[in-house]
Amino acid sequence: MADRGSVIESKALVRMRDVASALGISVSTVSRALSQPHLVSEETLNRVTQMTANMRYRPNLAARDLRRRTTGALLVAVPSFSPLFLEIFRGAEQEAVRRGYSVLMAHTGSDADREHMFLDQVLSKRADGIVLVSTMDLARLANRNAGFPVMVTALDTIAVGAVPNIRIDNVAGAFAAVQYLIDSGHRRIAHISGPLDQTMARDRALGFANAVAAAGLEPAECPRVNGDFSLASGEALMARLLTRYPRPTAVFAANDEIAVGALQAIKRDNLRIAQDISVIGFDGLRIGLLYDPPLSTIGFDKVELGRLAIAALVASIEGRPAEADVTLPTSLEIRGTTGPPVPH
Amino acid sequence: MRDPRLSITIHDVARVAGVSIATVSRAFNNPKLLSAEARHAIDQAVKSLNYQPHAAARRLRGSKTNLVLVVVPSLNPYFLDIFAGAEAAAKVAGYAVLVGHSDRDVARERGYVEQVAAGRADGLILVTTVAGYDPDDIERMPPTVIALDLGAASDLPTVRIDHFAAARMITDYLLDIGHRRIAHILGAPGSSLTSHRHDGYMRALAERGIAFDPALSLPGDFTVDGGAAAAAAIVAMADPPTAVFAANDQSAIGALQYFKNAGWRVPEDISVVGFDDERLAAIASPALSTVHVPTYEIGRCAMQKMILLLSEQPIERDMILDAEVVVRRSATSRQLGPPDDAIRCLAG
Repeated sequence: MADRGSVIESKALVRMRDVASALGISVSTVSRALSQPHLVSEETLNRVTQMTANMRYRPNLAARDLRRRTTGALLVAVPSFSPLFLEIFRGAEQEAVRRGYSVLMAHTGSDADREHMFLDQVLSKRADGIVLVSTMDLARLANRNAGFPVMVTALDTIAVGAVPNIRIDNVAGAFAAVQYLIDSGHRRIAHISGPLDQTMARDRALGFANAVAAAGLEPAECPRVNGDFSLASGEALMARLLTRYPRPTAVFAANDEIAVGALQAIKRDNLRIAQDISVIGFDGLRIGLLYDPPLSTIGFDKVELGRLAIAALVASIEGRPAEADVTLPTSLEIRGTTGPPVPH
Repeated sequence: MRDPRLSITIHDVARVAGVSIATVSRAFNNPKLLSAEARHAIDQAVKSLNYQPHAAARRLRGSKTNLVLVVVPSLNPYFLDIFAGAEAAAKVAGYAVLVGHSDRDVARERGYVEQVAAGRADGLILVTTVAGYDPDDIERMPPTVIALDLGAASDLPTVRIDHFAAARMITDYLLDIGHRRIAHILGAPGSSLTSHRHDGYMRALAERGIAFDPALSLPGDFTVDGGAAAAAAIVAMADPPTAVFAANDQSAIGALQYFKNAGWRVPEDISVVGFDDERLAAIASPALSTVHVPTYEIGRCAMQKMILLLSEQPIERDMILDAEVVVRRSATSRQLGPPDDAIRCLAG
């Protein structure tokens, strides 16, 4: 106990050497016990564990990083804290922990400068690699002067050079949603889009336009209004669509958050969801599942997308081949907000 | 994708620029000491070689990262709202922020503390804490601010609401509109939020002389599924309560949905209130009455406190912000009729 007291009072940084001399064993034995415990006897391991705890020994991570030239940390950069990106992060985290990495989330706030700042952080070895989820500006990324850290993109339309990309087909998913509305008998279908400076929003708007054109619907009766992927934009734009004459009988919302906002506006006007107006979203988020009535949507496996992105990133870090371009399937999930149009 | 630039060092920069290593080092750390020509030559060399100063090496010398790590207990938009406030304040001061997820795990939370202590970031904001820190731990901790609730780390700077007072306030609201048999769905075991909110509920009952019935404190875990499980237990009771106070909105919404699916009307057959006022509360049907927590403001104040800490200025140790009860449509008394939307009482 006297030992322990003196160490704590001194407040000096406890080094591995101090742990070794307190135990009367060599520094290399302590090191082995801490990093490769299977190489030492159980008794030694117990003594070292006990002593490091008593003396409050803390490994010098900065020195270790410098020696190993790795940090064991990965970054996942997301454009917003939308539940969509949180689900993807959840999958990324599961896979990272399974592979012995820690993972931090970086928030770009849809700002390309911040995105590049995080790439710089990884280049200066604050982390071993980065997953960029839904890049802001693909062209700028591709022409980046500062060089690339080890990275993977997720949810992007096209891969940047040889950078692995894990994605979904947004055009096909949107097409399927609108085709379902057409097959149910709708002819006046509106689209509330996401911000069109983002490729994800542009692709979903393209899928809508393609389906409307393929079915030969009257373009003037199938308007597109531009939102920003937020619930508030869905609510405001739906209120505007409800004043149109003739009113659309169905709406394809570019994501579930817009769709929920639209449903709120429909409820406020005392219109019947699915009878007076059908709404379908995209992403398959919990907010849609918990909504009353539950939202019809285009779903995909977000956790799996995050897992695959980290698997590809870790493969790149460890110098193994990674699958360069993976497209996950989307699925039509019909719940309570869609139905055939009811004639007046 | 092994990066070839890893092998470029300050030696290469010095060679290409035709100056000494000491001059290159000075250019990075104290450029004012150099002539314009020397600075230009070094700039050119850095660009042509694409040299990246090594962060780990800089940290060993004790320099700043301009990064602050915010650790959240779960990946819920509610906690990330605190992050958004922190981020806004950080931006103003030239800091970048990263998010760590502890999943309410003591080892993971301590892991983040170690990482920041080792210099991977300048400071740490813990959004609630599950690990206990004794005075000796605190002595060795990196600059740390606790946001939302202080938990066991009572000696660290804090920005929070009074969870006890706010829980008492919303229980008082249920008592005021005539309820006497009120159940509580508990939060996750081990969280200070859970005990503070439960204590506030018990105090409100005690003050009205209502005996505490342990059968009405149902286990939960702050999730929708946990709330539904508690509601199932209530539906099965021989003498069910007339109102439920859930420890957060997620569990309140789980309970609300279970009641509706079981054919109970909310609020006519049973009143349900939550805590947090997260986004889901306003769009639930019926819209959920709850306690509004100023999450964004908590994050902003926590980061401002962090910036003061990092510049070694004096701070207010324990800052308590106001929470308020928000009355929507999910609670009523059969005697009093539906609640008035506009009532907002101040708590705390």
